[in-house]
Amino acid sequence: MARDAIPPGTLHLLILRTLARDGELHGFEIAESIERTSDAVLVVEEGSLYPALQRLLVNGWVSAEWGTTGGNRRARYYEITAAGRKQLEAEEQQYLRIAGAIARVLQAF
Amino acid sequence: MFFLSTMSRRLRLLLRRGRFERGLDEEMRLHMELRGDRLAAGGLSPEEARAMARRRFGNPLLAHDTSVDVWGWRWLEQLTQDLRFAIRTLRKSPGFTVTVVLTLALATGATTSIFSIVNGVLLRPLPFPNPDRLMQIYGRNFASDIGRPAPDAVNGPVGTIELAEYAAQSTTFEGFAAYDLSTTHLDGPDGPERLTAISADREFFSVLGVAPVAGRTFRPDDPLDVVVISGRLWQRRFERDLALVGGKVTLDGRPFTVIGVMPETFQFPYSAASLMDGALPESRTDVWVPSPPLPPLPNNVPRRRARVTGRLKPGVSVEAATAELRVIAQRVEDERYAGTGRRVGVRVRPLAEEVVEPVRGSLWILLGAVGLVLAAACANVANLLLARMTVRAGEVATRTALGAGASRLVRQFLAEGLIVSLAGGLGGALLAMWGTNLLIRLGAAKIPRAHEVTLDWHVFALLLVACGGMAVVFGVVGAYAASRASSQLAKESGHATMGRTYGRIRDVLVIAEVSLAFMLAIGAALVAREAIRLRSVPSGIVTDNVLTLHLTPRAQASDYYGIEKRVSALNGVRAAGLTQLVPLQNWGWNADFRIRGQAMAGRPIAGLRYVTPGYFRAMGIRVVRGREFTDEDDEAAPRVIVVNEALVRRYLPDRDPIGVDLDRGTIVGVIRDIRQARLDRPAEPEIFYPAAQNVTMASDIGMSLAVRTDGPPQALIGQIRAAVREVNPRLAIFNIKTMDDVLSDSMWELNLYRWLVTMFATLALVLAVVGLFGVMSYTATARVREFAVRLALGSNPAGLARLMLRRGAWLAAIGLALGAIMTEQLLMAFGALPIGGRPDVVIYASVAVLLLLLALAACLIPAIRAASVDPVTALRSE
Repeated sequence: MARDAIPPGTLHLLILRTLARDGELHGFEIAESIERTSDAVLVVEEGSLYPALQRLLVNGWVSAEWGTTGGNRRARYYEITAAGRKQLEAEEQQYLRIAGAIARVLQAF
Repeated sequence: MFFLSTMSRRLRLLLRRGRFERGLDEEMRLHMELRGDRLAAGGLSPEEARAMARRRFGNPLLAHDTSVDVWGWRWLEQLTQDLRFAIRTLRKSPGFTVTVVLTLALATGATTSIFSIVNGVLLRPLPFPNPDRLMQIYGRNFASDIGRPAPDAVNGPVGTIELAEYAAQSTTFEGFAAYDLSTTHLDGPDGPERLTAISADREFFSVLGVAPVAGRTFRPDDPLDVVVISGRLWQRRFERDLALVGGKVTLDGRPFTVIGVMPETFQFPYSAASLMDGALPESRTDVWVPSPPLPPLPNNVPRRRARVTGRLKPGVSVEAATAELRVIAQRVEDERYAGTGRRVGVRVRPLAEEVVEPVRGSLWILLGAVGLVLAAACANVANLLLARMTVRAGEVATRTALGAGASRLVRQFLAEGLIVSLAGGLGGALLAMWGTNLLIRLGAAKIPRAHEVTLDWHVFALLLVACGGMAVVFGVVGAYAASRASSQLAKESGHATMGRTYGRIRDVLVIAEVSLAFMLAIGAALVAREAIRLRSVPSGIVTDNVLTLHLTPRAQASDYYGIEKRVSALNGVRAAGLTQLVPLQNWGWNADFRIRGQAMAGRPIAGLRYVTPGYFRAMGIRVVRGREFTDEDDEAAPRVIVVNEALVRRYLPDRDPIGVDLDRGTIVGVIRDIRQARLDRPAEPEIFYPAAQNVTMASDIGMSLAVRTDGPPQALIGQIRAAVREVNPRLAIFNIKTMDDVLSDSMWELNLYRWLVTMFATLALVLAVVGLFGVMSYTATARVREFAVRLALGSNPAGLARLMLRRGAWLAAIGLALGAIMTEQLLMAFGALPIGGRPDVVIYASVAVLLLLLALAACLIPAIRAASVDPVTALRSE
């Protein structure tokens, strides 16, 4: 099965969408969730997840809380904030508009 | 809002960054372990699973760093790192660091001291609302005002008649307030205390626009027995008791109601000490009382008010106000003084100008001079940095080769610059606190507004800006030199020099510094010589074991004679006597006289003094002919006087002065000349009266008592006080000083000048020595290869050291020659220094020798370094 890297500049969009859908997740769960929902087409370069999460934290789009995993391990759980939802909505629309436009150009024979 | 919350999140993170970074690592570790578990569950062996998990994660260190970067504190971390590295580097060369920091501390300390004075005295507006609208009004001096430099000039008091017309008719002024200086006495535990009182119009405070800290100021309907007191007096005598307001105090024996207390900073008028110049240690005002009505004297002669301040209406220019008052003054002259020949003049001048006028020029000059010194210090430090860079070229080249970027290098040098500048600035700030206080103390009574000078935030802001500026300059210079040096090092394999131009600039700089130091050192030597000369000048008095004190208010002659008797009778007292003001605290009180039966051209003028019989003995003044006064020279006896040698020399040469009749009395004695006004001013003709015969003429300033004792006179202060109080308990005793102190205090101007010149000269010397050291060190380093070759070809090391010393001496000699030429030029332009006169050969030679020795000392270490070059190492290192 073909595995593709995530297009640049969209990782935070994917994280925000994942958190919006699944609620509180820790880093590994976010990576897994992205992989699963994209039918394993999109693969997160897992290390790069963490700088992206920091950026979201700084901007106040997600909040983080230490918690315990099912396996009784300490983990940091991330949750989308109200500002994060607003940001997600705006960026999603923008992304879809651009993606649609690109697709139209590519299909215009 | 968004920015603020982002900022606060960042700050929170910064505060907990250790915990945050540990958490981040834990998160990533967990991530990899979970991935490993997942893979192992999919059938991989544990080792394979772990390796695969790590591969999929990528570089955890990079992820860590990038994550930390996101929070935006990387620069801070780098800054601390840079600073830490800079401190390490600086500590490795303590000589350089100490030199640079000391140079900067001295220069910034001096600059800040002077600037804080300039700021407090010249730059800060007067502490009144809209101070630019406050004007000082002057009238014409009377032609009969003897002793004034220009009897007809318009710089004197204002007549009450024209002042009333100004107040009634002026449309440019909001109001006027006239005030006079006077003296009053407040009863206290140790007897009455003398206070400086301002007798002021009731508009005084409203014209100035100042509010009291307690109570109120004058109202138009206030009676004469109210008083506003100063904050300092309130604190000193009444412990800030609020109940005082509304209560009574006794001034000169009369009850006054205290209506208000002024802030401590309010001291107006500023030059209140001029009333008793010399006898008052500082210019302070204690109480303000309403001035009584002053009806004109007979024949329509106005009273005169010493000082008048007016407040202009908003937007009125000084010229317009002057023009208007002139018109009014002319009308008064034509209508009120018709036929009297009395002329009215008027002059309007901003108050701020009048207050700081005496010191404005010298303060700016001082600031300019000290600024030059600061600039020279900075140039010097830059110079040292340049010299050091050649040494560090290797280090810089290595770091560049290992991947340090240009910005990194610049940052590094900026950090070093920042540290030395801040350390120097800190030292400077400490020096400035000390220096400013010293300056204020030396000039307390003489520098107007001295009590308002503080080291405020303006001063420190300027200091901080200066330090920042210096840091940038040093950083840029350092980085530039380093990049040049290291690129040359790369190109020419080991031969690092800064090129001829830079060498020239450095030489010129050092020569300039040496000549500046030479000039200032000459100045310092001249002032020191003057101080020594004045110490040994024959003052005509014997100052050892003499105590002086002043007594006010004016008393009966019999009181003064009684005090003299009682004090003379004390155990341990050799002699006691009174005069108006003791020598060197004196002011001119001149009058004309005539020699009976002798026609004289012009009007001879002499200073008039009133003394009691014991005065000459108490002061150690020698009677060279005739006799001194006795108790028999009283009211009933014939009028007698004693004159000084100067009077005899000028007006009675070639004849026996004893028995000569003047219109002021018969001469019975001649005393040796004494320096009355200043140590550096020769005696003028003087006439002494016995106080008993002329006490009505003694002015309101009271009398000074001089007591000669067997041992240290301070021990007798208590007994002398008691003796005075027994005779007259109403007398205030103040300004208690030994005559030795009176003598040194009279040289305050010289002391201030001496302190400043010595400070500048020392600074300049330090700069010159440091500059020379810098240049020579640079030379030693830059020519290391040449020296190595010379040594290899057979030169001896001592020869190389001599070569270096010769070069240093040569630079110093050029500086000395230039300094001497400039000194002579300046002396030709200005004649002589205001204090100290002209330098002679001895001064020139000794200063030159001192500077040369210092110069050679500065070259010694570089010379030794040049001589100890190891040719093998030096040549092989290429």
